[in-house]
Amino acid sequence: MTGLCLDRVSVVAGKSEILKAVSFSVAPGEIVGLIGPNGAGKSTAIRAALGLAKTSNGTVTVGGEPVAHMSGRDRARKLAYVPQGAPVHWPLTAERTVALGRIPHLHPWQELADADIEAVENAMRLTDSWGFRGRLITTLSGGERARVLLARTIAVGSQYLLADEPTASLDPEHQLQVMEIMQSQAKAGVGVVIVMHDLSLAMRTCHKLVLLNKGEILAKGTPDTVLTDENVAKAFNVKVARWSDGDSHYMTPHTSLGG
Amino acid sequence: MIKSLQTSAWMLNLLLLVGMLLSGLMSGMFGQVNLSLAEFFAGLFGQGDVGITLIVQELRMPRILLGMLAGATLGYTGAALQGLLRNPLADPGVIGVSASAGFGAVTAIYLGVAAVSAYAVPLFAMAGAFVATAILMFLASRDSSVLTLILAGIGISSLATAGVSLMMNFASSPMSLQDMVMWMLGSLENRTYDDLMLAGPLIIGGWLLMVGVGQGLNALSLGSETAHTLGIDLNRLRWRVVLGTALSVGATVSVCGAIGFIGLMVPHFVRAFIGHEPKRLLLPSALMGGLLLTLADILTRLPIGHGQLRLGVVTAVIGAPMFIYIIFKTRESMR
Repeated sequence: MTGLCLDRVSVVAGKSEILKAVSFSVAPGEIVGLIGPNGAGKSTAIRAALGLAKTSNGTVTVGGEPVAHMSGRDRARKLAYVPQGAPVHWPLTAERTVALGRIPHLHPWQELADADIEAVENAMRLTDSWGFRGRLITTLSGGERARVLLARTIAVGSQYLLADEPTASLDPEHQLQVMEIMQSQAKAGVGVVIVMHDLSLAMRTCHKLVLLNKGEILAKGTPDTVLTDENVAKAFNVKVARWSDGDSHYMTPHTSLGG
Repeated sequence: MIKSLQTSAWMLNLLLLVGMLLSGLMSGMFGQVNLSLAEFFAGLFGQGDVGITLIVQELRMPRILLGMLAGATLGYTGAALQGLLRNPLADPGVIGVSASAGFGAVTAIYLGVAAVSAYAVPLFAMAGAFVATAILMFLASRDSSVLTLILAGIGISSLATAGVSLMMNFASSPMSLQDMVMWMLGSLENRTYDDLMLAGPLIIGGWLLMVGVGQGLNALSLGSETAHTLGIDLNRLRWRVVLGTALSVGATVSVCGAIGFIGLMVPHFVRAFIGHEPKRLLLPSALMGGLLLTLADILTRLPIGHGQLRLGVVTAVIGAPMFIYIIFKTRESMR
């Protein structure tokens, strides 16, 4: 059991089961995309992996060790989270915000050591945010802020990255930039899980896809086996057009199939 | 850049510590009987005039020490609660413990037991703070939301304030009514080592509960979910701050009365120097709280209004305009 594994994980909210016995795994260096319509349980799946959503059944393990048995610090050093539209409650500088990612490595009263400061700088350079490290997070544009928050997650130096729609609210250039960063993290051996809506981007950047619908897995595997016309119609209720440009394959929804 | 911030934070701490000690020295020298530096130290070490020794050791020292403890408590808990609630408007009063301690004290005065024993008012006040903490824990223990905590605090505070009004309403004599009002305005006057012994251990116990909460408060800057994924045990953090505040502020209010504004404004002053990082605000807020309360206590000894100037009044009268100025200066960064 290597990698991050969700084994028959269920989550109950109120009286309804919003995640039903979902299993998938992420190996080090692999990018897994979680796709599906709104309310399919994509975010819930990564929240369950992080211990943010209480599981009613099933286990989450990293390298065979159940996450539920780990200390908070241990878990934090293995799994880092890029939340969707995260708040920053105080006007901290970009650099200080990124430095918060080093908390799992520090004792409560410990100051940042040189290694921590280096990790912060590397993460900021990688996300192209080093140039405005001294600016307050409140004065940054949406794209700059998203990059700082991504750098914050990368600064953890975790084995796995779990990102909830990291490209939402970004312009096309920054969407591509974020996916390139995810790819470079995977190349460095980090296992990456990304919740995403852009099927074309998912098809081109992910090694594996997990298609969720109504809390259940409809299909999982390589992008071409998952994103068939039939699966897309069933999950999203749309017809898609496809085309290729050399080795790159694209698809875009063009007709709603209606009720 | 991070290193330079760490250095300037320590410089600020050092500066505030020196400032606090100097203000303590001033507080020891200045009063109805003004002492020279030499006289103060001679009195402190019991080597001078017997009268001066009595003034320094029995009257001024407990007052100085209590003022520093109280100011540091209010500053530290203010900064910690603002970090926990992620709200710059939070102050130690927000969890309802101060108002409840006030209710306890006023009850002791109403019942007349204050006249029987000098311990009655602080003990009743502590009982009030204790009951408030128990209610708060009961109301807010079901879930970990800070909103429940704030609402429970507001509820308890309102109830205690209503109780105070009721006691005043039914006060048997103008004298006891005046005692109530005076107590609520806060004072360090005539405090003895007994007061210090009563409140000191609880205050320090409260501080010890809160040692090392800074990292969790820093993580909370990114919201509670991200803080969880950074390995912070939020429930533990919340109760450490709340119980630490209840204990130290409850004890402070019990012996000093209600002293407003220090807890709210001191963290804002500190932010003007070293930014908004919650962890870095804690120690300087404690030191600045101790410094400002000691200075305010010196002002109460000025011959204004027949020596009836109360500590809570001074902190509010001076604090509020300073607070407005700071908000005016820093409003750009608060958006």
